[in-house]
Amino acid sequence: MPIAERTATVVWDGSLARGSGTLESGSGALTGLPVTWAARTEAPGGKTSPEELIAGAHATCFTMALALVLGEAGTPPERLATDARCVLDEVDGAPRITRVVLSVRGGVGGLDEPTFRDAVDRASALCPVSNALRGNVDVTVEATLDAA
Amino acid sequence: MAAAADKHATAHALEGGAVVVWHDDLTSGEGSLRFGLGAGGELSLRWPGSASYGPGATSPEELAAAAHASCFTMTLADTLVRRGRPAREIATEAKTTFGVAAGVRIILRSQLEITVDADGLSEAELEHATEIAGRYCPVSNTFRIAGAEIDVRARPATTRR
Repeated sequence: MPIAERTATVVWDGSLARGSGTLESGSGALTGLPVTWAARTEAPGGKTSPEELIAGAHATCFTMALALVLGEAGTPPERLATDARCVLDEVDGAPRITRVVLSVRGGVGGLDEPTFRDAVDRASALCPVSNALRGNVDVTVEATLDAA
Repeated sequence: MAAAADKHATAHALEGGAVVVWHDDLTSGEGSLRFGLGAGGELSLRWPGSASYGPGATSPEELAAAAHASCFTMTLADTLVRRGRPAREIATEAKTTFGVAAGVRIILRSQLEITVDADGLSEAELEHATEIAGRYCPVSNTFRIAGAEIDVRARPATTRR
């Protein structure tokens, strides 16, 4: 049962090492974003990469799930800030996404630390990207509640 | 296959990062996204089900589609070079669908439509190269292990209507 469907287009010219591409998204939020292999292995210089986009997908998905959980509990967040780091490594001779580390800071009035941690766990169980990565990618979630 | 080149390409762990800031609850709130390396600047983020969602705001589904399209395209570019059919241009459109299966919200499906402009590339050669790229592309592998249906359609540019 689909809930949401979105598109993105990449146009690539040339070989992996020397070529380059551009990325556009259906919403128009990503327009003419440069993509290169060099951005993944050498100096990135403002170009994006699949690892960065997975980090972006996971951070946005998890943060929205946490906003939903906190809102439903009657404690909508003033501010959630999530930092995601996605690691690509070689496993048995093939490139694999091995690890994602999410680090979330919450500014939520009237909430204690255990309740916030519980909301974070429930958001992890709700977030489709977390559910997709669990079991094949090592996902770590660090949560900090900012002092009110 | 060119194992030495593979080793070179993935000898070091690669990382990507992103930061999301969100205010208020899911339906009335809003947020922003910044990629770690600054591409695209600050992107607007809205829940696709909210009233304020519209053109120009990105979403997790769209970012997953962008990750898959960019990863598969680069992998295919490399595969074609190794098979002696370097592409002038590869254009890939990805459509990624999130949904519910057995009560759990997951990535259900990712569809890629690819057009390849390369000298002398037959449909059979492209099909084979696409199959190999699908086995190497880390995002394809991650989505497949997660249970998502991966649907890849590729055609040489010369057969474009």
